[in-house]
Amino acid sequence: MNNASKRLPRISGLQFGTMVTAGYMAMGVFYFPRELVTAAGRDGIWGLWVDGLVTFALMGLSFKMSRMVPNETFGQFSSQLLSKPVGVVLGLVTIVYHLLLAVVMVTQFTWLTNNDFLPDTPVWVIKTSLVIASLYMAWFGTATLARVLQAGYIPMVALSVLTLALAGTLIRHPVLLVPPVNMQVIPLLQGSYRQYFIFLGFEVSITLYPFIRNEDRRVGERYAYGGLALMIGILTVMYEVCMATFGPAYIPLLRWPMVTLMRTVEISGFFIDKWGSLVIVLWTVAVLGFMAVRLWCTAHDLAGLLFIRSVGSYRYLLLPSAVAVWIVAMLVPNAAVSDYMTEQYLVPTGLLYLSTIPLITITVGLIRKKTVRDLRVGTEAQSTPGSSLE
Amino acid sequence: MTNPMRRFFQVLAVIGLLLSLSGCWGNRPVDERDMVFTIDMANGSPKAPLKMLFQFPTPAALIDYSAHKGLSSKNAPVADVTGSGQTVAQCFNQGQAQVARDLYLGQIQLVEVASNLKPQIFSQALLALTRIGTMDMTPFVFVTKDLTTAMRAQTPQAQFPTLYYSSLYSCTHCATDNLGVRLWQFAAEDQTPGVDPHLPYVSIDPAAQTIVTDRVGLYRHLQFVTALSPQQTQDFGLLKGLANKVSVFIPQGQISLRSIHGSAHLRTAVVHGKVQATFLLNLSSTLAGTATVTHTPAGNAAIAAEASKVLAQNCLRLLKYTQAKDVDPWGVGRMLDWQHPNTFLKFRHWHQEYPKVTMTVHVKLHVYKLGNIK
Repeated sequence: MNNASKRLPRISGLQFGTMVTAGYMAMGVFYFPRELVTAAGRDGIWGLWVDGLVTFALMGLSFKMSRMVPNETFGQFSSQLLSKPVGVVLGLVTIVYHLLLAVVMVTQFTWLTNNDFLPDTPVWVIKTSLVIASLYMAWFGTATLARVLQAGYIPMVALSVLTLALAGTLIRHPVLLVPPVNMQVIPLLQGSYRQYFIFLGFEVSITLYPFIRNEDRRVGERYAYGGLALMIGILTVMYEVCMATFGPAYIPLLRWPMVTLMRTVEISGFFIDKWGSLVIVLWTVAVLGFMAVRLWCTAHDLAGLLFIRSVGSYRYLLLPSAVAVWIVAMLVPNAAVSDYMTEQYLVPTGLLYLSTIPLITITVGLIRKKTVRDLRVGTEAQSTPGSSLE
Repeated sequence: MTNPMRRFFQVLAVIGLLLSLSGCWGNRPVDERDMVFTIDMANGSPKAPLKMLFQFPTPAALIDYSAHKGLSSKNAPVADVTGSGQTVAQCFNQGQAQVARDLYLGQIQLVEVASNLKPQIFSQALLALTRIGTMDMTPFVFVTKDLTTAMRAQTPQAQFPTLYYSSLYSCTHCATDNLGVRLWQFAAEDQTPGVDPHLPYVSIDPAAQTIVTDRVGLYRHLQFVTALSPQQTQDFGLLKGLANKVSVFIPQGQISLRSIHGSAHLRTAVVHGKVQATFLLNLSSTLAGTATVTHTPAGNAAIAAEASKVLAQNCLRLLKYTQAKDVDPWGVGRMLDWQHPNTFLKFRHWHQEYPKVTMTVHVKLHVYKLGNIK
């Protein structure tokens, strides 16, 4: 059995929550809320909340699925529950998906950095640096990665929220803060669909679930939900500040609305007066965390797919994943192409994957109750909660 | 891997990452660039319709400035290069061809625009400017008729011309009206339906050759229409909530009020298909002097009422003036779009409707009196 409990040390509930949140926070935040506003105008805020609600529901479903066989990675128990070919296909889709998300992130952030901050640095240098840095973050395993995210990620989010509050002073049209009531449903859903990219990455929770300490599972779920609620809160503030500052007509013309907004934040007299620019540069932490979590997931899904059991093989799987991300990222010529990839492939596949897989698995699990019980008992015997951790 | 080896690779990785993203790629240090502080845009020849000027501080002046010496009159504090062409990029290339160092656009603090700049050229240039990634959208913009003089005229403060304007506009409570407009604000107003952009208007006093900055220039889309007089600009500040120290004198009773400032709110309503715009001005001021020495609270209230009436009349007159000129710098249409979107969508062109809007101004003035102590 490729039992997740062998890859100790495992992570706490808070660390799980942080990793899952880090797994989607940086996604698309740079061009948020352009897609929403372009499609739905001022109604975009409702679109964001629809996205949030959908994510809550899908996250609940995926936890329900993971709870069926809590000690086993999805890649493993799916092939035993849904038959081998289905399991293999699902495993492959998951891996490709993780890698593509990482590629899109690298491309977006590279072009942002290159265009706005480091025009003299060649694109390949930025791409390579990002891949190496995220590989380095993921290199030392789950617990280290989770601790690094806790230490680097949480302060970065706190700083960003404070800076957003500062950006609140730029608001020129307070009337735009009130969500409009005469909504048009079709454009709203369109915007909501296109913007869903921002939450897509939460499926890390499926791969990550068996790595929470047994007694921390419920707490971990709560932290993940809390992280989601926090993200929706932060995104709402971002949306509101951006909307009330620039207005609905100007946002669609901005390449990176959030970045433009943050860069207008100045603190005159302070020794770094372009404060917002500094915070944008610090977002590198979020991007690296996101990529590291993706690489981590790919390595674990690969291990599940290839029936590799040893703990030591993690790094040998991590390296080819990083190389794959690097090569594909080098092939993507610019951010517009990665945008196109997202809209045409990642959003539809992601939504389909996140909604149908848990539903099918849960339904099959209800039919094949005995198999589920056997799987659960078989994996639980090897890991008594708390005993084998240290 | 052995332990020292592992440590070695770790250190190597960290150093490599720090070096690769340090921004020193190409080895062009900041002090070896010509950092453009100001750009200006004017009409060129028919073949090269855009003419741009790039102004940057000379190295000698920059050293003096950083040593807090002030600028000496011997050396020119700034140098200009000009370029012309169809696009901003062509102008930039011509400018770059005239200097030996990297002409760096990441530090632009001021954009000046000729009042006769053709709207089409202006629009393209504006888009090109917003696409310069290294520049954030925070430079101030102003419009002037005397483009070159505005950047060369003597300023009372001995510093770079750019810094004169950027400190003027970035200090929100220094001038009579806070007229500073940043590039992103101007671009947003240009793109938003139902509002016309405005810019501070800089003129040169012909006798003293000094800069005068107490007027505002109004645009219809990107077509410059008119510059308001200083008196109208004060009323403009009141209506936009930008006034800091406007003063008013009422001959009857020799009443002088100073430091009038406060907030302004615009509300729109649609009554029987007609658009109504209401400006609510919540102002406070200080009583500077009257004909009589002592006042009662009732007398004070009478002064406030009288002054409110005068201010409301002035503001209404300015609103009518903009209706006659058919420019809507207040964003009446924009507010209508946000408050009554269905009504706004029915109009094909806001500028056909704007002159028909019924305007109302309510002024609530609070007068503080210091008393007259001998």
